[in-house]
Amino acid sequence: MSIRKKVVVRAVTKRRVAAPRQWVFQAWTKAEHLQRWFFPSIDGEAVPHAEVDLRVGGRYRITRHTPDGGITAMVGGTYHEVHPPEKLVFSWAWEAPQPDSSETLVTVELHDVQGETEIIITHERFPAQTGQEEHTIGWNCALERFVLLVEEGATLPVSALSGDPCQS
Amino acid sequence: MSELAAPFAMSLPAISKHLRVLEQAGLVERTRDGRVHRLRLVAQPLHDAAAWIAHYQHFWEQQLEGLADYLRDIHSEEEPEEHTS
Repeated sequence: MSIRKKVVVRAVTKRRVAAPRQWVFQAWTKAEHLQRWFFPSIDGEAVPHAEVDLRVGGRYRITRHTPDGGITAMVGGTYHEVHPPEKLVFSWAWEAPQPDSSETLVTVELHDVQGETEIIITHERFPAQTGQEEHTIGWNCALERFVLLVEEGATLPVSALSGDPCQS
Repeated sequence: MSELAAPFAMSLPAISKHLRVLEQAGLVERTRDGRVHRLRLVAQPLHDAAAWIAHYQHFWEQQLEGLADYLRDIHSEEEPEEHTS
């Protein structure tokens, strides 16, 4: 049982926007910008709030409140890489409405395409590391030991699969 | 195992190797009945992975839609600043 395969489950999303990279980078990294686009106000009453400490090891947190102060959504994490205006890497964990059991990793790449910007977001889920393997049974049991790289557009034959839920 | 291997243009040892990898990954379970090995697909991890990927692709598509709208709005509000790099 000494062999353990590392798991990487990866969601990749791309989009081109008609704005220069510097603008896009600022939109991702300045609180006053983030709170205007990250949690769009659905009912016109929600109040988004962002805190950003933009340096490696610094934290961010984005929250959406109701006017009376209740929290409807909150996500936060730590910056791992900060390379203006081309790359941003940060950990990601929901705190509300449903707290994540472990952090995931988001990489935002900005490519200049003739004055416009192609944004590539890679969101990766890892097995628990740093000696916490024993505490992560249940939610993704067998998957932890499997190498699974799913690139954008790849579809798994979910409907074709059947089997017992893995419970341990 | 020979039944599993039959539809594939691969040798039995090659199939066996692939199955061992899947077994180590917990995606296949093996039971032995004498010389007969029975293998069973454990599909839930793939379901979980596919659901997670679909969820976040949808989430980030929506986020980028919102960002594109926002960038359009601020572009119409103000002229682009000159940045020197």
